[in-house]
Amino acid sequence: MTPPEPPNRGEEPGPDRPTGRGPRRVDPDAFERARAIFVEICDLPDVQRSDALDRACAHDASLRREVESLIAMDSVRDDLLSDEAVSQGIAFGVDDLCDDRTIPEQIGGYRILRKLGDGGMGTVYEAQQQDPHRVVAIKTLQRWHASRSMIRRFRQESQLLGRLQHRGIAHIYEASVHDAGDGSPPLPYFAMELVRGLPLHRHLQEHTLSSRDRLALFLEIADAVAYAHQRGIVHRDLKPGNILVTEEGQPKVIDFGIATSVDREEIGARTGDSGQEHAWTTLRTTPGQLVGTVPYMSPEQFGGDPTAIDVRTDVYSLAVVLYEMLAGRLPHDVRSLSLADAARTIRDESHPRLGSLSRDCRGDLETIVNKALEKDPDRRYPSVLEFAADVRRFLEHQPISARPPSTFDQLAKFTRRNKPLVGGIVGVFLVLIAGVISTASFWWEARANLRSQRWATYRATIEAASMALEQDDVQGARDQLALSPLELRGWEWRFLSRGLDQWDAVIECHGPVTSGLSFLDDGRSIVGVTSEVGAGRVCVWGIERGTLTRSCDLGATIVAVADAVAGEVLAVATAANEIVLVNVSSAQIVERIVLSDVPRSVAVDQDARAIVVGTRERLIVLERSTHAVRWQREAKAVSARAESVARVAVVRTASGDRVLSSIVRAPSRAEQVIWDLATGEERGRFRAEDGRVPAALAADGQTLAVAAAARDILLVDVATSEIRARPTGDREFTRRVRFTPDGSLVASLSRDGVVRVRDVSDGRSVAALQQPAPPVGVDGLAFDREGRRLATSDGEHIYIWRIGSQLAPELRGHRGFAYSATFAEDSRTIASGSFDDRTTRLWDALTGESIAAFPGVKMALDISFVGDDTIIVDGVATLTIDAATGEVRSREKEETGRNIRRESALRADGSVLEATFGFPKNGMNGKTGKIGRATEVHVTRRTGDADQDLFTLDHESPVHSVAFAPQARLLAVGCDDGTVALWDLDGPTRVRTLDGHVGTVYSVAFSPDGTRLATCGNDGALRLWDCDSWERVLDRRDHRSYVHSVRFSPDGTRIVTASGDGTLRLWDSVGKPQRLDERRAAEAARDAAVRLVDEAAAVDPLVDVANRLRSDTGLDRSTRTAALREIARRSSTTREGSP
Amino acid sequence: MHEPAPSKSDPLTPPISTSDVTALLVAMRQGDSAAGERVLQLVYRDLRDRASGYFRNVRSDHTLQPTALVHEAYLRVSAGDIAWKDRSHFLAVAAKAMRYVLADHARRRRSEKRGGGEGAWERVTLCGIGSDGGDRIIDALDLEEALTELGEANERLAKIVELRFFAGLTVDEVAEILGLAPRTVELDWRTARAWLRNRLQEREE
Repeated sequence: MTPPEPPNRGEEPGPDRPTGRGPRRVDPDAFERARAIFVEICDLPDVQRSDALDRACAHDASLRREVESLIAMDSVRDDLLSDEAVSQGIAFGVDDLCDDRTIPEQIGGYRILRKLGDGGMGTVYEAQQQDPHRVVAIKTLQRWHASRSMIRRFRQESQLLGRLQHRGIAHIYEASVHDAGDGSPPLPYFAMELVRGLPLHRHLQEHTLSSRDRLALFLEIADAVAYAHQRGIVHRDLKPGNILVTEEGQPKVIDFGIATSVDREEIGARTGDSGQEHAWTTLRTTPGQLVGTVPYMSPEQFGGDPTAIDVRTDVYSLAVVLYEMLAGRLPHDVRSLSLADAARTIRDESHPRLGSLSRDCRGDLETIVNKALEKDPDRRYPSVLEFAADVRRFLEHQPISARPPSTFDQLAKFTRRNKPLVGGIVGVFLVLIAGVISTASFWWEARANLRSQRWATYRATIEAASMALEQDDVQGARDQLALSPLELRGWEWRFLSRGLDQWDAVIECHGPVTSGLSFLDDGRSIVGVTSEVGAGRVCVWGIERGTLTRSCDLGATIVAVADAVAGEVLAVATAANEIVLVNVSSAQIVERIVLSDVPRSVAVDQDARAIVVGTRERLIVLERSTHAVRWQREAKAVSARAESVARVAVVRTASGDRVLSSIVRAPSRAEQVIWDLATGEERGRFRAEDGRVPAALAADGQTLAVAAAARDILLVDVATSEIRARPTGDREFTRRVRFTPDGSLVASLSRDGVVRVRDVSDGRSVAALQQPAPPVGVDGLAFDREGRRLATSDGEHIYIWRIGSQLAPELRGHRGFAYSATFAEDSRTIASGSFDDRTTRLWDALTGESIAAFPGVKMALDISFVGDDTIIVDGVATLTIDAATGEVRSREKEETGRNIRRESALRADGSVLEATFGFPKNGMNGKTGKIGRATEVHVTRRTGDADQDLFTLDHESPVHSVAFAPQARLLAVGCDDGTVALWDLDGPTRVRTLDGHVGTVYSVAFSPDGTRLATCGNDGALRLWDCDSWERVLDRRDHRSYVHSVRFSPDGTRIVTASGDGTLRLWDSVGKPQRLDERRAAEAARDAAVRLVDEAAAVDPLVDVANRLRSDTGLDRSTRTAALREIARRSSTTREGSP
Repeated sequence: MHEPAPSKSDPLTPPISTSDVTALLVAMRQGDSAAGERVLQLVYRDLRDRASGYFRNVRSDHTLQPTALVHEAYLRVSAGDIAWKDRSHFLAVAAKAMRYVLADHARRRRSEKRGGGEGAWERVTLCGIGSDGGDRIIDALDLEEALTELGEANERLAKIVELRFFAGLTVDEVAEILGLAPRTVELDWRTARAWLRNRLQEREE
């Protein structure tokens, strides 16, 4: 070894590197030297790097070797330590495929020689065939469990593939199923031509090929693909990994076996009956292959429509391959992106011009590649043959058929790109379902079993819609739900569809609302201005009832309205050159001020002491009491070319002084000037150019929101003009911006009706609310005083939005773990119990409002209503309480041990079945009482007084919950090991085991119509299962801790869950418009009910009033319900509503 | 304020309670190494118990995702109210705990299988769940040994690998936890990764 002279540290050399297996010591100093050099040079271009390496390791060959190997290893791209893999996650498992013993001696007629590799689906072996005598590759589909009918079709299919005989295609000799005869499951496999070669990209790395050589190689590939196309087979997954090049330079396209036939009729005609599970399982376990494929996928493959995929899909993928061959990079490097972003990029972004990456590729070659890479299949080459023909013409210096795009084409492209991306994530799921993906078994299963395919589609659309809603992508969710197969739509579809309406309430306005939306201080009313020519009106609507409560006619056209009501006064500027002040409580005009100039904007100070008017020429501040001018400024003094003072607003800062924000508009620019309202002294200004429009000033008097013409707003410090945050996300031009009164949130309304609410401190999006119709000609946007609700309008309706509203709203109130919850028989009231706060709580199932807190018990494991009047809570004791007054009717401590739980159900024959099981007292390790083992459920039949033991159902682990399906034909049993056993009680036979929950299944419940089973447990998930196919159709993890109880409402429309996070959640499947009607009807009944209770309670105790109401047959149902609820409110043991 | 009262004993509460861990994390942040050790024990026990459920499941399509488990552990323990600073500490500890759990399991598995005779052995492996690394696998024990060696040469690099690989944290998150510049972490990560690749490749040969 040469003496060391490392440049940066003169230390001793490291010992020679030991070799071989086993732990060994690494010399930290040698490591550090190599590390330091590596860090310095790893990002240098190749040439410089080698120079730097020479300098750094001049005399130390071993150090140099070490650094070089680090550099070599740094460029490895596709292993488990790559950033892509790490960001996607790793899985840990027992690799039984690697087990030596699993290499079979024989598969079918082939003697296995050795294993070549493992794939996501199975293993590839080198094998010897006897007749004809040749060496072949055997590709098994290990994780594919085949039914007999599927095997039959698999064999049929193989004949189609066997007909592909081309030197550029790895020949498939046979597709068959191996039965070892030892009881192990049948093993499907392909026997195919063994190609000894390198994948395309490795081939290119290891051979220096000129551009012409590369094009010639590409033409070989294209010819092979075109050959298959002529025989009706599309590859659908062309990528360098699927193209091997032999030592002789012959490319061979592999895995044609997984392409689907162009003949789509066939897919539609095929139906199947089993294996529903597999498509999804496969999808879940091998997404790796998807990502490897994504950069080569065509835009239409993200679209979710399997019929959109044809030979032009292969044209696109081949073009990506060609682009990469020529430029050395992908047109869209999406490898590090999430699936959603990758989809978006491929669909929406244009690729770097080939000519800009490689000089050789300018001109015709670039035109050819661009044509093949068109996003729209109709604009691509109609076939690979024609694509190849143009490449050939280019090589032969003949004129090509493709034309560079005209300006018009590029314009058209731009418009297309700006169409909103429809559920990007989603597309990818659908791609899988459409059978595009390269996993043979997946493709096969999807194709072989139409029913399973439809379920897979359904589940994917549901999952995608669910994800889209999480991200406030209402349009994406809507599109997904529309794609769901009609016949499979059930509860979960309706639940998610409800989420498409994000509003909390809608008010019909019966007149064109233009602006001036403002919440009144009590939060129960909203003001808006409707404007018709010559007849403007200030209107006040009640939010709860949705009705017009008062209005004030102004008799003139309205030109401007103040941003907010100030001291009950709304200021309006009219075309009659008047400022009209309207008192919104009385709906009376309190003042008219006549101006000499046309007003353009108006505002009133919060105490209504000053009135601010902007006109074409000037900004005027008037004393309200005297109408004397406090101060005024010429617009031209602000900006020489000023056209008007377009908007004014008064803001009261935290320190109590008032600042006036005015926006002075001039051609192609606007200036926002901030003034001291009292003195007229200028406090700061911001000049907005290049299409930026100043919009609002926050309460700090310091932060400006500026609408940038291109889809976002900027938060600007007015003193320094520094941009503090640059939140983006709007797809359309911003129309209006508002801050919350405390200045913490900013909302912007864009032209397409999306209200985006952002956190001012970091620009993070808090909510994106999609108004059903765009706000045509309407500018209203208002926060309520607390900054929790927003109002917007589309001209005909006012929408009230709740910020932070959830798909399944939380009911908060229990001070401890929520353990049980259920509905009253009328489905209108929810009762709940807790582990430790010893209260029973009542909630309004329509609004989610807390009604009352009544006495309860510790560890309330179960709660139920008897009728609508009585609640039974079962915990350390059993408590019977009055549902209206909270009066405790009885309290029993169970003698036999509270560990025994029972469920009963009525059968069609009139008998009652009862299931009894021992609920472990203390979690996992408790005793089980005297009924037997914790794993057993005892079923008895009750007819009259006689009990008859029917049978005992045993399970693999302790039972935690049971539920009868309607009419007691099925029993679902939730167990400790996360499984749910389903028993057909006519046998009894165990028909199914549902797994997927991690940890104990605490609660199971059937929907009243018997179509859905809900399960929940320690993993915090709520799951829904289809009771016919037993497909899992919904999986939500909204709760932050375990879910202890799940119940359907008797009308089947809602679910309530109780969780260890202390909350209940209400899951509703009925659309918001219908619920809004119900809410308003209940609200209307409430007034009468309150009067009724007031009168009665003045005479009698509430308990008596409740009893009398219940027996009063003359009373209509809704009044009675409302009155009993009013009594519950008044009887509550703790005062509700106080913070 | 609506969080469940932690002082009560709920039979269904996971083995670690929020309050304990939060307090320990605070102590740990203030330099109490015993607290750090205690958190590690708690988290290790929790992760081991959770993981054993996966390990019992012999079906091959049931794989365990370490990063998911680590984040679940965090969610379980925190109920969402641990401060960011503590969250990062927690994840750092949990990443180490996860590494131990996997290594222990792999060792046990190997020794059990060897006891089974006739050259039977089983590899416990790591593979990609949604990535280009889909077809590649790493022997869990090989990785553990290589990581131990790396830790001896440079502890920080091994730590970064733990956080990236077992807790699934991004470079920026790791940088925040370790108080380093993201660029430094990026370079360290690349160094560590290249070195590990080398070492793992040698082992395969």
